[in-house]
Amino acid sequence: MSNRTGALVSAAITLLLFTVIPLMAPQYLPPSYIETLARTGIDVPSFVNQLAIMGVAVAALTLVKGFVAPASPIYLLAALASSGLTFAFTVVTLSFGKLEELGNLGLTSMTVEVQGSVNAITLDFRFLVQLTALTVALRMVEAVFAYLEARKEAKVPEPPSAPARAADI
Amino acid sequence: MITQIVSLAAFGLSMYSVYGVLSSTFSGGLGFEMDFDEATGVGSLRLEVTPQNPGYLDADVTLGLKLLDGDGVAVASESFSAALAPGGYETISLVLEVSREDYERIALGGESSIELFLGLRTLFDLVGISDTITIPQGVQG
Repeated sequence: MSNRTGALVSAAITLLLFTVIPLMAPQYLPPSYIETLARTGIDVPSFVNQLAIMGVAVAALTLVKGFVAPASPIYLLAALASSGLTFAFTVVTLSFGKLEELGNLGLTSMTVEVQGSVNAITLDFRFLVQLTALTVALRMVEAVFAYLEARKEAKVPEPPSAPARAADI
Repeated sequence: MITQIVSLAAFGLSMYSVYGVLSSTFSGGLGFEMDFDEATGVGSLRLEVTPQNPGYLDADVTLGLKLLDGDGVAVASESFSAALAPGGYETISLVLEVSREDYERIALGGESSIELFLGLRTLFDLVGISDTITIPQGVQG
């Protein structure tokens, strides 16, 4: 499979997983679930839109990487941005799209009031965010090294052709 | 790639343990029993739950119970922690003892509330959830 075909397939899968499925999922959830989520302060439509936008961005960057030469600075920028978006995707998902919780990097609080009872829930997923940060950092370093390697290969001059023998002249 | 797979596996296993312990703790509702011993003059509030860990990771469970008066001050409190191995369970019984004065103040018309705390940590103490439920008097089933 060529780079371009691979990029197209990868972008299509990314779009399906991170854009199409999140956008369609609320239709299949019982309305009571949506109401319960809304009571906790989770804005489901906004959350879904955030995931979908990031899905489109990651798919677009995947396409860019497939159609641009690895030695191009655009390829490096796309690879770094793609890794950054992966981190953003993790943080947004673990914060359930609550913008005020994004800065807590995996420590998410929500409050639900049901029939007079107040239910305060705190989720501590900071370790998973830290693990993702490590993964993303390693991928960024890898992207930089791959870019430098590709540049080096692109600059290697063609080996000179064998000198003509005097007898041939 | 390896760290991504580890991250996904850690998240999945943690969520499975968290969901399993929480659902087993709250399944069937929370039954509070309130008694008053005329002989000793001591009132008691009892809560018994049996959290189970159906997951594949150890889980540390902390259960706390507080009886708060109308000003939000704790009249009595009790907590208990247990480590649940995969497949394990533990029956936790919390009993709050309340003096006659406080019992009468709270049970006979005064405003009060019960605060139940459930803390759960898993994945070698790296992932956790805490849930604090405040139930005003009159709402308790």
